[in-house]
Amino acid sequence: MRLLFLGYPHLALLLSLGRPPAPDELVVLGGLPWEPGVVLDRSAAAGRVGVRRGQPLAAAHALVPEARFLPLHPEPWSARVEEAFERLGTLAPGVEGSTDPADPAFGRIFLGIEGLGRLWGAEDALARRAAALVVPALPGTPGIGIAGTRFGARTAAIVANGGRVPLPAAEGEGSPPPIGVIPSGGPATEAAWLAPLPAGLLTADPALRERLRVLGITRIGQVAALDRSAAIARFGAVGGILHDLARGLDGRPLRPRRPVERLRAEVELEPPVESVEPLRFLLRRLCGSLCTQLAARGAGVGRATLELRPEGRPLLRYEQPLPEPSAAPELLERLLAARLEAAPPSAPVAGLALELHGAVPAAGEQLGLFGGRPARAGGLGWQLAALAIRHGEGRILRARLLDPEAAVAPGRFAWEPAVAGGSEG
Amino acid sequence: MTRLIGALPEIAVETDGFGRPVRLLWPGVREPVEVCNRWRVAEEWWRRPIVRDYFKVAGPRLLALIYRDGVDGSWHLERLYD
Amino acid sequence: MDRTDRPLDAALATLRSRWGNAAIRLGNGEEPGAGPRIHGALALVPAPLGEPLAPPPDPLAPALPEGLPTGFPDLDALLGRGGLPREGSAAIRGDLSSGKTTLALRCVAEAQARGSLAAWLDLPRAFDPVEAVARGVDLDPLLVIRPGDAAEGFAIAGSLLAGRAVDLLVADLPARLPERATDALRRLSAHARRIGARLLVLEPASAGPAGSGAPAESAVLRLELERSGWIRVGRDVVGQRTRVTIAKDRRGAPGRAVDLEIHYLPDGERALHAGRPA
Repeated sequence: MRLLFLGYPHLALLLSLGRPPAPDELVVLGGLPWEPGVVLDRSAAAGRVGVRRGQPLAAAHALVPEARFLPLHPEPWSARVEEAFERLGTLAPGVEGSTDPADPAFGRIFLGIEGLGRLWGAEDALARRAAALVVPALPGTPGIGIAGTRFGARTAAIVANGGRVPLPAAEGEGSPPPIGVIPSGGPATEAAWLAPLPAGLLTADPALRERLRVLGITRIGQVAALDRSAAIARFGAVGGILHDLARGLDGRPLRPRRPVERLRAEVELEPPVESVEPLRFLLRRLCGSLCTQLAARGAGVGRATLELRPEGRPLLRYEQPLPEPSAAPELLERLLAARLEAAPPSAPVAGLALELHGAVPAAGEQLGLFGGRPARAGGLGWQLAALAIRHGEGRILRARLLDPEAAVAPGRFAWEPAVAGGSEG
Repeated sequence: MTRLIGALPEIAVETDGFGRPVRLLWPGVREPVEVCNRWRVAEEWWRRPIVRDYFKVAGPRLLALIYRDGVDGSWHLERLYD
Repeated sequence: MDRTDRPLDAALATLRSRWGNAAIRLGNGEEPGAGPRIHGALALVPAPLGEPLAPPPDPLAPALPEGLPTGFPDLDALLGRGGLPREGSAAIRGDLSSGKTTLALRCVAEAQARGSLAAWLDLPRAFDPVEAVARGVDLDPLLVIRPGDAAEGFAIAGSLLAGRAVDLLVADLPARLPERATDALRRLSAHARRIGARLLVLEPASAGPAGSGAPAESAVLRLELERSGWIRVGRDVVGQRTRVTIAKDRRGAPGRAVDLEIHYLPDGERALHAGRPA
């Protein structure tokens, strides 16, 4: 098996800031200091004063109260990573990665590239093509590694960046990114390549790293040279894992993601259309057409994108998450029409496209948006979405208790946009 | 139930010689009050220290929680008991 | 600050002669703090032993539609239908510390306990979630509308009612409503009545004379709340007594009243009594 690794080690932080943090910039990502969450990521400067991933936000704030605390925005970030996966899916059939910003694997992408040389040429050429493909979706330059194992590929990426965890290139921008490659040849080749590297690369656990250091084990080759039973005796079950990694025997298979189904319909408008009403009519037809396909599969979608191509103007995109997976054309049309009316195009429209994302098994019966039947959680979600479009976000809220015993009021509760089904989603 | 006055509006408060509120004034309200309870809150709350002397005061029309800001000396209405 | 005690026995006798045992329930002189208390509750003070809480049923009267309990059995009994009317708007009017907000929150808690979805239109931006939970409100399904202005708030509220998204809407009005918003409130009340939705309007006493204004005009039920005294422990005020008077009721005569008690959460100990309806 040959694997290509693309690593964006601080992806959530990059997506949040829109740029790499400055060397002395104190930033903590995970929420506001009084919220009951944990640190998801932090800038290097914050890390130097002791802020760690997984640390309670309050503890991080106690360490560095002057830091900028950033909230999470999982949905747009997930959408961008999903887009990256879609693009990479045109290169390789097996793409593994996480769209969940809270997942430690967020920002780590593996592609199975065995046998793709016939299509895309040499491995490093394929790697550069992959990195270029995701540029529109993800910020920065990834660390790139190629090996026969997951550990090998990740380590190769680190080594290619001079032994540092790869950072997005502020320097060297425009030049091809370095690529670490462990030659093919099986576990022995991989073990030999890894042997001189620091043993600390085998684990992210600081306690385990310290134990390795205390025992005088400084190189991966020293771990490989241990008897496996001795490694287990010294470090417990994890010792066996470290031993396997050091010997090029990382047997963890690639877990390709199930590609998200996407449906798209487009229509050219000749002559271009000036008013909203005919656009709504076309939107209704496109919704009907795509939803018919969805319904035939028993599927619903979680997100819709309406694209308008105004004459002489940039493309207009209306991204609309749906309150629940749906294949109901009238609900979809009303929500997108509300978006259209809230922000109509400023020039005649020459093309219209509708794309539905995230096909999943359909939810239950969709309830009326404005009908006379009693609405419950499903119908309420649609209504709240429509009201948010019409009146703006932040008008209909739910309260969430934080610390009811806090001495001052702002620490006791927080307001959140209302979502049908409750604040837990 | 109390009504939490989220904006913590500044109000005018007349005090006696001991610094205790005896009258509250804000638009629509001129209320003689007596102090029922008092306590102090002092903590390093995020970036600005908070020092507040809270007074629960009762008048003919209302029961309210007000506080005097220990940093700048202003008075604020935090909640109305309703 | 407390009002002078009234000659209660004479008043009781008069009212009982008119309304029977549904008239008034007064405290039995139990001291605050003695025995179990439902903290923070607009709690019913127990009736004297042996007296029923509701008038004897008239066997010839049609069965009354189910009302929304207010959380106060005596008030529910006084209303004669088990609580607030099933349809149309009810207006609750009272001065600054009259207890109207507590009453409204208990109505929300009762509605939620019966599986209803509730929304709170927070025009004065005074909604306190911690206190709401203490009164038995479940924050998770509760929608709180905090609009840019009153007219927008009524528009959002109207949409939620029209779409049957909520079963009970509480409209908490500020001290002053602009004219445009007053018209919007009239339309909202009329709309609620037309579609059979339940609207509860909290009207400050400063909004104008009793019985005037949009809430009063369109309400099928109007309650006037007036604090009659404080409940003290030493110097501290730990609760209040409130008189609730039915000022308008399409299903009965006005003027009936009941005295209720409200107990506040202890200051400085804002612990949640999770699961305990207040």
